[in-house]
Amino acid sequence: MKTFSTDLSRFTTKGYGTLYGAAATQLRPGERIAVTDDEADTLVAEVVRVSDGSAEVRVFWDKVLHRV
Amino acid sequence: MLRAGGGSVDNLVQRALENALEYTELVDQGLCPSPYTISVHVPRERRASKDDILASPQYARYGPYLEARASLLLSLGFVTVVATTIVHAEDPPTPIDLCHYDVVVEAVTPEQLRERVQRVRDRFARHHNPAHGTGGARYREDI
Repeated sequence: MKTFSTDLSRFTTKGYGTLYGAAATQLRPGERIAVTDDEADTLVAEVVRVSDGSAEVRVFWDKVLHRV
Repeated sequence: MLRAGGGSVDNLVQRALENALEYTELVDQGLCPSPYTISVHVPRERRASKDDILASPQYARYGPYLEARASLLLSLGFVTVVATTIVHAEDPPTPIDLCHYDVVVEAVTPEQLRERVQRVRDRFARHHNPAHGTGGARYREDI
């Protein structure tokens, strides 16, 4: 599972947020990935849509892959 | 009082560079002095307590968290704008009701950005997050 480091505090209560960069644009809608932040748990997320330079994802706050 | 996820200066700089893409258009239009920001939260209309914020889904996943008085940040000459966005505008109201702020840091070069982010970071106190590991269970969608 690909892991992305991002700013989790920008994600909404329901888990929606955006990943940026070339690696994000290689993702596919529906793909499961892992997201984490500095000194934060690693969580499961699903790709919602991909556009130029970014990918919208939804993180599942209750699906923890790795706890800090 | 502003709260942010745990973060080293290097991490905050990395996030500022990453999130700058969101602000590039605003800067080009002259609506924002800089694309570099640091994410923080405050309770909307003082309706959420400290514990509410730390138990919210975003913060329950952080080990340490950061805390700073807004006045201390705004006293810095290069922190010129605090832009606000309600985090969950698309959601029905919850007991948390957080607002997402972006502290905008003016900088011309990467070196200057890092130096200024360091000065912003120095105004944040780092705390252990007592809510870490609870999963924010009080705020499950079915409650």
